[in-house]
Amino acid sequence: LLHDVGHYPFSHAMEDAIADAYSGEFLLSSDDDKTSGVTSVNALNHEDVGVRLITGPTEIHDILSGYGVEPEMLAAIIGHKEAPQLANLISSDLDADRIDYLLRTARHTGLPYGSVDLDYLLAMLALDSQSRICLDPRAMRTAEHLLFARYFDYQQVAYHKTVVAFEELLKSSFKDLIVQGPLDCSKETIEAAVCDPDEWLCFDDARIWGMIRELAGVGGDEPPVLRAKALTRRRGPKLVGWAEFFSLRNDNRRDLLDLLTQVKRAVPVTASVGNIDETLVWVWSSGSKAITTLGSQVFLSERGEIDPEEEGLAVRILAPDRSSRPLVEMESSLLSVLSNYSLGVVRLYALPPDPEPKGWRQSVSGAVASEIASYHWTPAA
Amino acid sequence: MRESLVALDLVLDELGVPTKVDTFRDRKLVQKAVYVAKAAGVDLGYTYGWYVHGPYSPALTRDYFALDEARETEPLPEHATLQKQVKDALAKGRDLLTVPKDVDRSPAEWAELVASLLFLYEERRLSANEAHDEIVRLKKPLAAYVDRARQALIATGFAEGPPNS
Repeated sequence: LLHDVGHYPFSHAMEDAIADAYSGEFLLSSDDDKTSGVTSVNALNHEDVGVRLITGPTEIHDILSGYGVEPEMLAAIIGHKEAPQLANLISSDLDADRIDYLLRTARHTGLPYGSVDLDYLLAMLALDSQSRICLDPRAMRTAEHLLFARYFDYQQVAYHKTVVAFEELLKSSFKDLIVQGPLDCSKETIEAAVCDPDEWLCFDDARIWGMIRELAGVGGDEPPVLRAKALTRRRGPKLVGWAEFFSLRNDNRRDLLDLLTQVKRAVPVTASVGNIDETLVWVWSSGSKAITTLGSQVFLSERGEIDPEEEGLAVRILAPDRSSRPLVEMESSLLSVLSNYSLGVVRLYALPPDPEPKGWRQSVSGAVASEIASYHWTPAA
Repeated sequence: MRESLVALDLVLDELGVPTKVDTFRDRKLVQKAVYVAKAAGVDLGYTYGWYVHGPYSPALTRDYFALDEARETEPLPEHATLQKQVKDALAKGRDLLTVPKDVDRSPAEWAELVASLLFLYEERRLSANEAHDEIVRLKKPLAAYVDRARQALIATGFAEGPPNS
């Protein structure tokens, strides 16, 4: 219940923007040669914020203590300072968070993909001889279903072209708010805020929306204002072109990188033909996305060298001798085959002038298509 | 390229650690090097936990693969450089990560050893003796070099005490 309590408004979109905005202080600008004296990124990720909310002088801390629960022990689990088998309850292929968001997304979007058999999964949970959380073999199909559900959920919801367009726009706008000043998410400000319920409980989506509306109202044609206006008018970046392909992992990654290189090189053309600033163009990629976390970054063909840390994220199946094996290693599982394949998605988005000139998207996508030599690429118009 | 990835790239370069992440050994070295940088006062914002090979950050895993992808698909921003204070702080990290001549271990294994000791001192608040025993218990292939690693930590200013404590 508490592992995500430290999320900022707008969740991961805001967290990414914060990490990016404050990393810039690290770097020396050759233009003005100014030094900030900063040697650390002056920002907190959501896990760090969560730890402060649980262990600091907060209401959550008092409630936990009142029930005899040691806040520091919980923070140690969330921060992975303790035994991995407990931490894996909150970060693995079979963690509570993933199961929860699949069911929640299914309910709120009306899409059926995340309807996993939660009760049976819970009933079949077990511990192996090394106290790792695993599943009874009878739940193997249920576990496969969970992983498929997550995969379809990514494709249909998280990677939906409009969802991605607005998420990229939001991230850019959040960074604008931080860089231009109205939004202060520096470490010291957040640390003070979490201890002040009047401040922390008001630090929500609505407050951020207010800032975006204010920025949109400034007027003019500076990119931050155009981004804010696009949000308030619900006119997101338009898809210029895309590629989406499923292939063996090694091939997928190679093709994806080749395509990404070309698409990134097409950003100036997009801006020039579209008559917009380059910061109003976004290249988005899913990365080479596998169906299982195990091997999602490290190819299974290199299993001899697989990261033990990553292997800890795998769904495991209990054996009669109380040992356990990753699901992807079970030859009766579809995933033993499919986990060797990946999905690659690359998209190019651009924010059109407002109002959008007639034929704008066709001319931009045509110009970009002429720059990209890949049979995967599809112009949007 | 995202500025957080630019910063990661420059920090690794300053530590003398390659950014390639093709093998488990490469990735382990990057993980431990960024932890050593954090201990040196250059905190890139990654939260570290204790895993099979010592300090490990899942968020850093995502970012070094993103950096690997970014480096293969676009050039680093021109003129990007770290502030002098950051470089100064990383100098001692670079010294610590250099495998001593009398240690017969790879850079990744040495980094695992020194980063693990640092984690046990700073996060678990273990004494030098307790940390020593924990490493010997958990990391048998590195056990012979725990005292040498502590000497290196003291010599580079990461730990206090007489070299042989």
